[in-house]
Amino acid sequence: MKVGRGLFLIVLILGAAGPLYLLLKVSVSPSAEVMTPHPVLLPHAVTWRFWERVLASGQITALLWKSLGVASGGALLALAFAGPAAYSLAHTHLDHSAPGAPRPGGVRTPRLAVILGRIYAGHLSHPGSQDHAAASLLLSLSGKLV
Amino acid sequence: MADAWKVTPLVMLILLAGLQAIPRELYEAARTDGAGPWQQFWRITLPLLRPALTMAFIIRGVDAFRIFALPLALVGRHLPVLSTFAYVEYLEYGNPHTSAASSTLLLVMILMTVGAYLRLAGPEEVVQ
Repeated sequence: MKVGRGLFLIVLILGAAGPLYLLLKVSVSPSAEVMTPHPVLLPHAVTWRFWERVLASGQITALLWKSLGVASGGALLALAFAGPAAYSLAHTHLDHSAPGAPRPGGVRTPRLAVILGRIYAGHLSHPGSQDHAAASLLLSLSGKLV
Repeated sequence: MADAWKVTPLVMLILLAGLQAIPRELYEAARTDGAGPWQQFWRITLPLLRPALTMAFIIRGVDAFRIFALPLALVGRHLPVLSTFAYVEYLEYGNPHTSAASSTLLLVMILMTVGAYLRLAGPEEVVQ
């Protein structure tokens, strides 16, 4: 059991760190090591030329600020849009005594959230989607709500 | 703005899950003690919703850091962000090294921002 868990952790770490390692390696390897039919896994020579070129391009500070602005602004705007919607949905009380109203335990807000969550997560979890993490989070959330 | 609208359902569902996790008894007790709707919101809803808000902000923030298709499609190169810079460096200038370097910078920026936000939000939120 412990061996299996250890192996799983190793695979998980390699799976997560592998692409990051390749990204870092490509950024510090000379072209001869990358543009070859058989690229090596460990860098034989390290060069900071490309990092210097990026940092000396004069655009990077503006780009970083713009990325930060877009990310923070986008996140805050999304919270501003979604906050009132979620609040009103969570505090919606159906009047079950009204004629034609659904029975208690029929259509409820939590069930609606579960259905919406599953539809959204189902659409997002296809291969190549950019929101795998969010999709799996939603799936787990909707599972807890049932 | 377009990106914010695009992800509003996802953020709403995260916040809705957070709101539904707040026990109703707290509101009933607050009403019994004479608390009004605003007091209930500021003293119960908002503090107990903070973990969900943190999670939504971080997921949205990380996701928004790496957008490039939307600005590229909507405004072309008039709104260059770091991810579009990496994309252009790789595809148009054929330089995977500078593209990888700028992508690594983006990763560092994301990690720093998330770390700073978690530090600001407080360690108890991380534990939750």
